[in-house]
Amino acid sequence: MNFFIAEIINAIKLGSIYALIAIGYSIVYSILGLINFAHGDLMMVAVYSLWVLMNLKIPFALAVILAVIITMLLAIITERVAYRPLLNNGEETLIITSLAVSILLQSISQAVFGIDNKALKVPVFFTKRIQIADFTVSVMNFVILAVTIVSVIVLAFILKKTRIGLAMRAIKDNSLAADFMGINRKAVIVAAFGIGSALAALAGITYTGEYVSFDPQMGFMLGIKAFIAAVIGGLGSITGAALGAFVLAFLEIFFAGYLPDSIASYQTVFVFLILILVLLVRPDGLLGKNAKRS
Amino acid sequence: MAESNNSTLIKIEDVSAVFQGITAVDNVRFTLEKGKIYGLIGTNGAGKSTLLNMISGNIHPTSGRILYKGKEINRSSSHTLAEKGIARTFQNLRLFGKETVIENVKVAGQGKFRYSVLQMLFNTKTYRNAEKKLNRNSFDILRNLDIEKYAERRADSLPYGIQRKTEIARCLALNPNLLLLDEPAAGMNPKESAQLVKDIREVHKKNPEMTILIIEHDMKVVMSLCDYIYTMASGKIIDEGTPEEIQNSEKVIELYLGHGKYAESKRA
Repeated sequence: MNFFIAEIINAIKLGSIYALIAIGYSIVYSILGLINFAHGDLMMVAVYSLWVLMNLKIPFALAVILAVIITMLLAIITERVAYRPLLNNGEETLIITSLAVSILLQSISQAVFGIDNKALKVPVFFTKRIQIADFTVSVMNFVILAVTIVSVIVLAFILKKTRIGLAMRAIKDNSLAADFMGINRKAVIVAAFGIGSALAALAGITYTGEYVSFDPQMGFMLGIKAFIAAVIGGLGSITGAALGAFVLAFLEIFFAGYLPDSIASYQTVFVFLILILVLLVRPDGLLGKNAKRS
Repeated sequence: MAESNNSTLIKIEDVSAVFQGITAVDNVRFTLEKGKIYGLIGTNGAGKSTLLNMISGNIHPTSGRILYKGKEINRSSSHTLAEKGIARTFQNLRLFGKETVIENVKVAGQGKFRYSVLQMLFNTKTYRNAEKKLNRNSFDILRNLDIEKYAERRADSLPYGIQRKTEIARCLALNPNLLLLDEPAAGMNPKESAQLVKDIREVHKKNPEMTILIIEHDMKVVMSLCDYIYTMASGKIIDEGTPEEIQNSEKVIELYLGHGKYAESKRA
């Protein structure tokens, strides 16, 4: 029983992190039609930025804020130089470009920081463990959950209550009509990149805060997993992305925990298998409504 | 050549549009005066929609010049033209279907009542006033078109006629100088299209400065609304004039009936 509850705690933690990344994927996709494979690497950028800033003896809280801002700026710059010139060249071109951006970011960080693992030492406060009944749970666990919940609330507010949110919904619904209604699509795209990359940065920082070790490739696999989560949930749907993230995290954790040891190491294979099964039954994902882009 | 007097809103000078060797619009020239209602008729594939797409910035002319208030807008993007007062509807409805009617209108209206992000974050007076004005303005538009009771309904849940009206309402939120209507009566029964004529008249009465250009196949709609009509065939303007002149134009009759008087006399 204890093992079961511990696994649930782990799954919620992992699901929260996947959700942050997957939601970012979905926001950019719904505005731009771009499946941004460099999205995961933004987490890596955030973590390295934070690591550098902390080495410069900048206080932790300030360093986190700066790292998020740096990541957002970088995302907006990649949009400007890599994606915008190709905006009218079709989704395939943009996907390939995003792969190139991903490789570029990884290569730069390898060249600058080397390929070996580094460790992020967050203040001890976060690694303290709290006793709840028979378990001890680290403060970081609560931080991760809180960051995800607050991010989702802020995001829901932006999407439902602000003008930029209304513009985003309009573009998602009918981008051509939005154009003719005076909405500057480029400005909204920049906002989408800004929001998506901020979420990715928070995901990267909380993930590394919990699992400590990081390297230039860390973002890629996490990005792919979050992408799968977004697809399972229904690409372009925010709620779908969050749902997919938790479905994926629970499956992954419970496969690893309950499958016989001999095959437990194949958990990633099972994850991909689930994706294939979901897409066979629901090609548009769990919450996808066959939304056609126009 | 570029000079146009104050009453001219749109001047199209020798505009052509060529796609992969096919000339969709061929050396067209015409002017639209302020405050008048124009019709653009012609058979399918005549180039009417292409022309409308060029005026609204969706595609750019291959050659020639489009002047709006005396300034060239050949390369302007749709959203800047929308801000400058060129609004349009679409042949197939293009509403924001998942949003409510009032939100559809607000999307278009938000450019008119601006504030900065900081003003929003600190909930300043400018911000609250702008939001209030946007709300009031949007509701006024719905009220004028008699659809305010649908304000909170999802656009795609409404009957076709109301959706058409919502599309016009959304355009009016841009406070346009030029309203382009692309086949507004398409898919309407005679009763609905009669209502549409009334609505457009009403809109024009309330905004007498606004120029309206209507592409339409329903001749009853065109003839009863328009001050002046251009007729297109194979990318060219083949005739223009008042509704009466167009109704009696041999070229136009020939275009629509295939052969015109010459053929009739032969048949007889």
